Amino acid sequence: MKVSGLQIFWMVLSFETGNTLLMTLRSALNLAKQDAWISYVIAGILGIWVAFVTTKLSLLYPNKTLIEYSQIILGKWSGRIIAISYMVQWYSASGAILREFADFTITILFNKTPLWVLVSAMLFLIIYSIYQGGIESIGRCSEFLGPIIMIAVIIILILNIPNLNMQRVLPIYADSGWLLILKGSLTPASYFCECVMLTTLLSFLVKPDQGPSRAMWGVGIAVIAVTVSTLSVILTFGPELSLMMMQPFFTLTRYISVMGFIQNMDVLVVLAWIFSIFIKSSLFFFMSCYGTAQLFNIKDWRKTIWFIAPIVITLAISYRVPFGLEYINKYWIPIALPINMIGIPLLLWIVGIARKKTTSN
Amino acid sequence: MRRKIAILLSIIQILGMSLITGCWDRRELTDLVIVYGWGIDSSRDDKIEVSAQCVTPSKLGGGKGDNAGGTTGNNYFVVSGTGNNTLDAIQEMQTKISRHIFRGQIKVIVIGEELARCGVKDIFDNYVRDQELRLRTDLIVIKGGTAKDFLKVSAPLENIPSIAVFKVHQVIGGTRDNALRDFLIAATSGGISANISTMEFDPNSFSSDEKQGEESNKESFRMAGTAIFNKDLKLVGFLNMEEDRDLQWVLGNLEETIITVGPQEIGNFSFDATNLSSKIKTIIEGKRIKLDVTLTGQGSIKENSTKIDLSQPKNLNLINDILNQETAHHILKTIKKVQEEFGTDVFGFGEAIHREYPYQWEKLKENWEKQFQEAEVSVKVNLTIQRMGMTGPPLELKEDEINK
Repeated sequence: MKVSGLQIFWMVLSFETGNTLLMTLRSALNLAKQDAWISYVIAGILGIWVAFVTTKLSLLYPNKTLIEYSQIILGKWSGRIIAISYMVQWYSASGAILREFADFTITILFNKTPLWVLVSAMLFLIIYSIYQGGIESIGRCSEFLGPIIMIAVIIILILNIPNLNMQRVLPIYADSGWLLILKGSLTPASYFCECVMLTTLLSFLVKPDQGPSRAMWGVGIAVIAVTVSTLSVILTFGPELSLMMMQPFFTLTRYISVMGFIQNMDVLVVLAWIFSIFIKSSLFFFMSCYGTAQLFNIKDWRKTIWFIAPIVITLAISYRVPFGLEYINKYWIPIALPINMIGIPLLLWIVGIARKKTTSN
Repeated sequence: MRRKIAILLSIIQILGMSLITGCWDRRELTDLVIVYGWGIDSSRDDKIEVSAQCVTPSKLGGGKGDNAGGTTGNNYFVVSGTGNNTLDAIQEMQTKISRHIFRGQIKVIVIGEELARCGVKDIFDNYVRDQELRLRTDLIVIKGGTAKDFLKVSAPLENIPSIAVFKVHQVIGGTRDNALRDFLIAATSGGISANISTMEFDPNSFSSDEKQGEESNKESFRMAGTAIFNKDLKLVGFLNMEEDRDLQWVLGNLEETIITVGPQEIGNFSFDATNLSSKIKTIIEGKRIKLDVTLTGQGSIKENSTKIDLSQPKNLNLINDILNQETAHHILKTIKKVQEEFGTDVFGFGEAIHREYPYQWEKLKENWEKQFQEAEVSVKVNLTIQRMGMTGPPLELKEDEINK
């Protein structure tokens, strides 16, 4: 199983763009009002920095995953504790993303379809692609789907230009202040920093030294796309009205009407979002399976699929509604963001560098 | 082994696909009734009455020629329901109609005057929350009538009257199909009060034809200006069409219009203005608030009934000055009227202060309606005459009558 640098770029870009766009806008707007775009810039800088740290970290031990080198760096037992904390994140995220997907699809498209049908249909698709090619098939999928996601977002942004009113973003800063802008950047940051999964993904890269630049470009372009989209929402609806909407970016897409006949572009955003969800949940699911296999020294990692899949389905169905708020606010932001996404990679990187120096001396 | 499992997985996948093709959520076109116009009125006991102008599918399309103007039935019908809120009323409406009411195609939402006077604060939640509806919808208040009666009125050019309502608003200009969005933005922000375009019943818009003697007695409708709302979203008064034009221009919703100046000593003339734009500058000096409105535009003189020969540059400047002064005077009068009679800031001056003086606005916004009534307003209009049609002086005048 090998992936190329370009595939890493598209992987990062596609899982960061679609999902962040639809899931984080509300909480950022709620806190930072019309300055939400500044929150996204701050969150984006943090995301790029995390991409930098994680890729540099994996370059210390090329062709080894987080589960392996955390045990090398910190010793067997503390390494395993770290690995378990990541397992919690990956398992729960796989379920959470599937649930997000199902909830969104039920609200937008299939009002009467049962939840489990959507969740298991998506999971079967993921299992199929992972079972066939592992990370390689995810890489190839993102190389193909990533450009479609980006084109969809760009088309929406261009068609929406006639609806913009520059005055809606004013006054800048005065209404919110730094504290609220920073608070507003927490949710977007927790999504952008999901690129922490590069700690595992880079071990499959053909030329590992391509990793940092490809990953940072991926996060960077995703940040630009999401920030511009946020601005677009604010300039179209203003901050107060956007807050009344369930999915401001989706409503924006439905609002497009160019010359009275280019209308109902919502299919584009649904397309982009489901592709993005597919790549993101495939990645989380793959890492859960592969990581579990490595942690428990199971030779054929594919066997773990059969007991992780039921866990993920159960998780996805058992989250309570409105699920997004609870999971994001109680686990993802206060625990996963500071510990899993920022703390541990930084710790491992510093200790790893120190170790390398002492051994080379 | 791996291969076998892969094949098994793909079989499950194909089976799964057949499950999610929409069997659960199928909605055949023959099970839907498509709504084009939507009316909201107040009803007894604090309830609301919603009315839907629905398309009769069999009357549309084929056989149009035979049916034109005939009395065999309309292309549309109106159905209503009463309830505590919109969905409750739809539920009641559904009991009277054999197909699922589909609201995704609504072109225009009309509100009866009585409901508008009682306040529309609580009725719009569903229109943002429900994914079936689109926010890009026209919004109209019916002056002196109910929405239900309004939806029953037919229009001569269009199959469905709601399309006529929508198109009239498109032609006249203003908020057009952004009306619902602009109304909701105004309703949720602090420094601007909402306005909604109005229409009224008009018995005499279309001349009668002897063949259609009975038809001509039918009512029709026309644009009638704007309804002004206060911060509680209650209707407080109306502006007429000319005042509405001034309002939409100041708000920046107007792109083009025709301005007629006169009658004065010199006669009257009409100016076809395009590229209209507006800019509000605010000055806070101690307790005094000054609001400077600058309006610009370009265009051409399309009708000239004065005795002035416009091919002379000095005459053109004279006319241009008169045009700017008269227009500014009219707009100032409109703003004064709103300040004095309604006392609610439909022009968005509060938002302009919010943008320019965000920190002072924090204190001002508490009592803004009162501050707005006392603010000094000045209007400056910069229209430039770029062309003046084909002729210099008016055609029918003799040489010696022309005022050079």
